[in-house]
Amino acid sequence: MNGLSMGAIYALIALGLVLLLRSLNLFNFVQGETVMGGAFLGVLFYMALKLPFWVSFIAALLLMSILGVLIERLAIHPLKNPTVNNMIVATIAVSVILQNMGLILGGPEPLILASPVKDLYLNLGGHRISWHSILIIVTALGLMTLLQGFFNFTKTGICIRAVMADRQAAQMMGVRVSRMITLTFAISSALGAASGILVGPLIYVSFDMGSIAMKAFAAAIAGGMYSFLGAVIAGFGLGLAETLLAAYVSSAYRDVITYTLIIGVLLMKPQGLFSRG
Amino acid sequence: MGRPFSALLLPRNRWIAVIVLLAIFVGIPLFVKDIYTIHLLNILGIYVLLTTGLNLVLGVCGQISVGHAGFWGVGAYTSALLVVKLGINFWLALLASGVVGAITAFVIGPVLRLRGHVLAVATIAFGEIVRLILLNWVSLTNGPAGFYNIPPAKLGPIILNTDHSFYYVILGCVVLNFLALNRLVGSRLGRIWLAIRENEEGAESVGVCSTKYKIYAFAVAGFSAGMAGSLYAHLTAYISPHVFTLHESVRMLTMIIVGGEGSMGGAALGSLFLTLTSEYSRYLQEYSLIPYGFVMLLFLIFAPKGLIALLQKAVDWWMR
Repeated sequence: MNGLSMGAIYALIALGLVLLLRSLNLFNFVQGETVMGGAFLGVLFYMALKLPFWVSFIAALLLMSILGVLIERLAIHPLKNPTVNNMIVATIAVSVILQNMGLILGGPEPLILASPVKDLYLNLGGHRISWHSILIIVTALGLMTLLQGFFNFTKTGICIRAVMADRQAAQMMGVRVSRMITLTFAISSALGAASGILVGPLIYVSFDMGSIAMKAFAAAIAGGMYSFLGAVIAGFGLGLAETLLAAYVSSAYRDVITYTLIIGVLLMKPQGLFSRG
Repeated sequence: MGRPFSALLLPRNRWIAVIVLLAIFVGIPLFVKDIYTIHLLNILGIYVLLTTGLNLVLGVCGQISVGHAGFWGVGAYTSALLVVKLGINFWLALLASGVVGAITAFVIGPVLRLRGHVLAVATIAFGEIVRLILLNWVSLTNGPAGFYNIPPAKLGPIILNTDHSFYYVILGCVVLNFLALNRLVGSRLGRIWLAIRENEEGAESVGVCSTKYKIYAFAVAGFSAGMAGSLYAHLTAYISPHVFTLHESVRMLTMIIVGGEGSMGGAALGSLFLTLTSEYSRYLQEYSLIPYGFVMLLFLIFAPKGLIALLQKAVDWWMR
């Protein structure tokens, strides 16, 4: 169950990544910092200001999506020479800035973000399942459904899909491409923030918690980089695999094994595990 | 006057410039007795080794690498292990670190079939794997505590245990490395790298096996970085896995972006700029990475060709 809930987190982050890969062919290294930002805002609203959990959740999502817009407008959009390498370096630069701002604002000590369903367990035939895991999985699936609905049934969602499919054609049909890309950034950051708040109670909230996004990068890549479903499946798979590895092989070398698996997948199937042919 | 800056860099003038620069750098420790300044120059030299190598990969061959600190760490530990555990001579260890760095590049070679974002992620993973292994393989590497008291280098009877005496070792390595890399960039190999950077499919279509040549670029960079690692280990006499982090890899990328991608002089200039600024912003401690990020962004947005291009413009304007 732990594996599945971590998997849900990875899947959410990976989904945000795939959105940007599809629309801008941009691998967003800031994603880890949006996770951190979401968790920090969660600590601020829920723990410090004592707002209700869902209010804090939505507020954090909104604020992080505004941050996403700012990042796109200030760092990515003005690039004179937007080659893949330059965009990568730009997002790395933003991520370094945000991570250190996190360090200044949050301090080097880890912060604690409590779960709204703290210490509540569900007894299921001898197995204790924490309600928080269930909360994570349900929220993640809910967000994914919401996103699916947005892309299928609203005009804006369809416009974003048009930009992803063919930027120039979309532009010619009167879609405001630049605005859609900014919006995609906002959605992607919001997804990161959501996973930050959800994962906060499981791990400590600290300035370097963005490193969990590395795993999500791997999930996005393993899922084929451009496939939403692939990213979700790979996210859940990675969460499970990691928990099993830590339990049965070695927890010290867990990350080494995970990273080696990442490279392995990249080499064997650069198009992702779910590609045909 | 056409293009005055280029005239300044005619082969004859260029040699004069190189000799003047070299004379200045050879002379510095004779006049500057301040240990701190010389230590700073030593660190700068190590970064120049690292960034000129990385520049070969990023600027000349067009491949992104966010794990260059991995090669550095491999070199440092190779040298420390050889000297401390096996009692091997420093000079052999220096060479061995370079070779091991290059071999590491061949080991991760298959990764270079990838490009763009995927390569960035794969190289980050490489850097992290190196760091995690150094951290967790306690019996070999001493784990998080690292190595203390790495013995200083010796040249015959002279023990090079001060910053002043070790300065010349580093200077020698930097100069040799600089000349070798420049020579490589001008060679057939260099033109193949440029071709891969400009158009990989195009290069492949005229019979260049691009992966092979990309591995060569990484291997050369790995050699420089391995030597830099060995020099670092014997300069500071202490290494730990906390030195060779992702942040260092990012810092090297910043140096190249700031200095000017693709130009060896640019990489050196970028190292100079960032080593100095980070020394003076040291009181900011961990926060000093924020200015880094901003500097990197500003250069990417407003001066994507880096300091070297700005300098070029300034000289052109001045000589007009």
